[in-house]
Amino acid sequence: MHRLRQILAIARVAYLENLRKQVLQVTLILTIAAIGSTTLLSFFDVGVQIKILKDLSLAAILFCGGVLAVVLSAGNIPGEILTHTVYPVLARAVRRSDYVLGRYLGAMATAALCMALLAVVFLGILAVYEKTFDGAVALGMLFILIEVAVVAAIGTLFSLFVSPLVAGTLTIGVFILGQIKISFLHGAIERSASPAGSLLLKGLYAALPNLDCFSFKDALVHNIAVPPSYMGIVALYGLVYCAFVLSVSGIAFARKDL
Amino acid sequence: MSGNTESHGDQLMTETHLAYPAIRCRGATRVYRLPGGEKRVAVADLDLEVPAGGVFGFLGANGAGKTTTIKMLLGFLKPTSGRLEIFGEPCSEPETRRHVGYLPEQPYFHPFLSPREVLRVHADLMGIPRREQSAAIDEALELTGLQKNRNLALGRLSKGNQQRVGIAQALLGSPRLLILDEPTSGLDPVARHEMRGIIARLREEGRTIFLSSHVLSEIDTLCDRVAILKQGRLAACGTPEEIKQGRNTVRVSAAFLTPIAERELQGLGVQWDTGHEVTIECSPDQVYPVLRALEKGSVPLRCVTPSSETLEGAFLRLAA
Repeated sequence: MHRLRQILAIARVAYLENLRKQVLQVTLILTIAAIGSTTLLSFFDVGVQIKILKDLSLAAILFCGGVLAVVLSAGNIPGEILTHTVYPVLARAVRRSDYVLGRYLGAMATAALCMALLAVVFLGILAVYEKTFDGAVALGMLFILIEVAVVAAIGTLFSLFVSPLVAGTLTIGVFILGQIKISFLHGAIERSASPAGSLLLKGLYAALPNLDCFSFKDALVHNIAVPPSYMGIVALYGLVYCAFVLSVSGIAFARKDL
Repeated sequence: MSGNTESHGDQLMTETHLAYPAIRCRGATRVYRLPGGEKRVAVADLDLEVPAGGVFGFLGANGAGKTTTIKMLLGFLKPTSGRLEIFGEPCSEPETRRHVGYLPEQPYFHPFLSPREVLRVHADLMGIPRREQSAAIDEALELTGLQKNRNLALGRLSKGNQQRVGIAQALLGSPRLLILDEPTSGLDPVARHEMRGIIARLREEGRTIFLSSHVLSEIDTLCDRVAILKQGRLAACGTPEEIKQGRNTVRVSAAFLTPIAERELQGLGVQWDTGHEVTIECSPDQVYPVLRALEKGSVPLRCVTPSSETLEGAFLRLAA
């Protein structure tokens, strides 16, 4: 209970700190503008326009999620070390792994707030066209949040070893490669002629998260129902992946000199 | 700091508490690896024992290893070798720090938080029950004179008031051991005086204060014991009087010296300065031979003044 309160206290400060990041505010405004602009495509019939609205908006939200994941994770802990705000906190009886978890949860709370805001705008516009609340799309956005959580966990891990700039770049790389893991890397492994190259690609394939599985965009656009069991497995995969990466981050941070 | 400070002070002096020193370092060594494979020894084989209760001054020139030692005590750095303990528990364990309050050299807190919010966060980190938090926070704010500014964002507070917030968070929850790194830095003379009062009060309550400061007069006034570090090694450790002892001198002033007196003084091997008057500096056991030499030379005596070495003098001798 005491540890939980510590984690929540750290998360709360991280959350309040993140809300003040201008880059998040700008990204959010641009994404809302992008969602809003899809309503201007009024020269299609309603059915097509809804498809375009879903397609473009979900793509914009996914892009926004990627930016959130990078911005919230890459400087999350290094920033605290740089400004020395980490010292009074860790001078208390706080475990380093709890500190990492607290900072991460604070970042995720910010991401969740941003996603909720985008969901309100997107689902509101969608409700005007569809004359009903689209629960499937709301669920799809929840999976984008899980994807953000996975990428942010990886970004947090990177940030403990390299500078925030390098960590951010690597996280962007993971975000992109994670989207095309199945379609691109699988084929690349089969095509690879050299054993060393094949081994490298296999290692990359095993380590990278399969971010594509969190995206139900095509199914949502074409109103195809996604089996709940599949969604359950994907959610579990995301949570286990986050837990594993955060555990490694906790161990790495505990060994780090401050 | 708690509602019943007296009983809490008594509680601090329990047998368990007294069984261990507040801080114990045994062969603590920290070596930094610099780029290019070069090594730099920041702290070397440090043996230090800080008894529970009282104020312990920790001195050293810049780069002497004070901050590294404090960082090892707080678990920010791992020692390359050796062992560090707080109240008998290893510093590597986070739980060891449950009785520690720490004031960093500069108070580093998020500028968007108010003093009250900072203390609320630290109360949660310390595990102070919610129902007791408000009273503990108000007491810390009151003691540090922050009640008026309790809801202002830290970014809008003066440096002195930010330092007060640092002190307030260190005092929160009545920790047994306070590690204060330059506590009066950035404070005006009135606030410095108040800070010294707070430290004296905490000592009376039976707490242990580990005080790192460059203000030697402050150390001399407040501390029961002092340790001086030089290039990562312990140069001296003892009471301020012990540190200064051995360098007590006596100044004998005379109007002038005659050739006979000069010859006699040379024979005693003492040094003198000639200005508008002659000042002879000698050890206490040389006073009478010096006076006899002056009498023999018919030198008119002006005064005899015992002169103790200041802590600053001892520090310069031991640490410079």
